[in-house]
Amino acid sequence: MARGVGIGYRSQFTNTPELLLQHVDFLEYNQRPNLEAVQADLGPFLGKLPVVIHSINLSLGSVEPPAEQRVEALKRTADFVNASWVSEHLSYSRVGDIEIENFIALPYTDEAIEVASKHILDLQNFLGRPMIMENVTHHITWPVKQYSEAEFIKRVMLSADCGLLLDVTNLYLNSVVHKYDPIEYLKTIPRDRVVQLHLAGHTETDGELVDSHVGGIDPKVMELTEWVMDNTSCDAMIIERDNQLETFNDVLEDVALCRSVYQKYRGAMER
Amino acid sequence: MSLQQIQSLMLNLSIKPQLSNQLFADPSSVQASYDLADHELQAALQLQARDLEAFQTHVALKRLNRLAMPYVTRSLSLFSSSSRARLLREFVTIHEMKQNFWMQNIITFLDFLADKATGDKHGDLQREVIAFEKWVYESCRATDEEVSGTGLRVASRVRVATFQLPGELLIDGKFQEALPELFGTQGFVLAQWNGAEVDLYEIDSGYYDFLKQGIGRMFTSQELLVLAEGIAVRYEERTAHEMIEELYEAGILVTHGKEVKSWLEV
Ligand SMILES: [Fe+2]
Ligand SMILES: [Fe+2]
Repeated sequence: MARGVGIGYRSQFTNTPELLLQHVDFLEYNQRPNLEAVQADLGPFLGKLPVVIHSINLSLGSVEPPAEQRVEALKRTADFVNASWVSEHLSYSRVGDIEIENFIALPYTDEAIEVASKHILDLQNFLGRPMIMENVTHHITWPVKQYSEAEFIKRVMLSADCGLLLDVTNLYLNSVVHKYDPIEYLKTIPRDRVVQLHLAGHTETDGELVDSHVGGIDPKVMELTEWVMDNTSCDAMIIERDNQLETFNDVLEDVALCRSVYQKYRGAMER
Repeated sequence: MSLQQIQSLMLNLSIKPQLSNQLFADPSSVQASYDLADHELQAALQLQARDLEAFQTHVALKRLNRLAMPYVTRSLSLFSSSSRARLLREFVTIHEMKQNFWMQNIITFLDFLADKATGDKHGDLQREVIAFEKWVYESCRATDEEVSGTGLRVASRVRVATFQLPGELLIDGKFQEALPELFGTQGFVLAQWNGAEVDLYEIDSGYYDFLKQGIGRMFTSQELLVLAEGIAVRYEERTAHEMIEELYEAGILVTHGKEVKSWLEV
């Protein structure tokens, strides 16, 4: 079972499997439909590190169900790596023949809860593994709401019987942009539903906060992380890095930072 | 089901900047086309125009970033961030993309940017950088003409070009410093398609002259030497032999056809 401090696998790590084995407790792998590619990437780690799968294109919040081919491919990958769990985003990005790469926040309404929950439940049954859903950054939300974002997430967790992949950086950025209290938000989420965290550095360009997945996790994000580790059953942290990344060495500092927080609340991992 | 209507409206808004203008200017037409109930239209009208613009820019930028960005990044970097956002929205309004069609639109986008370059010296600079990226994208993708016979030739998919900016600067694309002062400095670039992407190298005018004349032709070692000598004579720092040897070792000059002796042995 995945637990401890892990890293989102990136192609930049290909040549240094020994460093990953030495420094992280588990891997998060972005879904790829081609099993040969998965084997090539994860071969050195399978059986040595637990793996969780992160999916990005199922659009589980869309009224239309996710594309069958993609769901089947996800199951093949999850089975292949014996994923501890599978994650997706609590959002939508597809309608009819339009599909975008961004995650749009769902309207915080009962209807959206019902639609997303059904797709999550179906997927969870099909995969035969736990699903956890990630909170996304958003610039725009549907103006008529029945619930706050946190209350909405809580209701989806309960009706879909799924977990939360809490992206702490996303939560922090949203709380700044939309001016809400992140601790109030966290208090709303059932403590036993927070399964995994995402942590990453962010940037500010032209006065706008961007979840750019750079290095250097903000102290305010770490503060929220400490709250989560202190107040929930969460036992798994993943560092996401997509920029300022040449080799695994570039993430070592962030790994050490997360490990120190992890150990403070959960003790040292047996390695 | 109203969620369907909301999602349809939001996704269309995300890729159609003109639709947000229409929403505020002529709400009832949007209500009709998206089959919105009155309360849904009222909700849509509470969306902020500024937020929608930022949203559209994000969607366009993220899609561009997915695969196509490396081919246009230098050109885009010469526009201010607010004009970048405006230009992106304008481009996707003209070239609607229900899926991510940026890879099919690279040349069209570079031409679009060239049209938007200003009329002053900065505009000349922008146009030169855009011309460079267009050359990089186009040149090596065009297949070579068949060359028959045996001998030595420039490797396939090699192209050279010259620009009014130093080659190194164009290749690195780090334009922050000293760009205006350097405009007018002639730079020489070699590009080669490696099967997956284009490799770029800065060369000097000697290699440029040599390759410019050599590309697409078949040479005997003797002919090649004659060509190199004609050029090396103008560049005293190296001999014709050294020039050919360097290109041969770099795989830019290759033997073609059956059993060709290395030019060195001749
Ligand atoms: Fe994610
Ligand atoms: Fe994330």
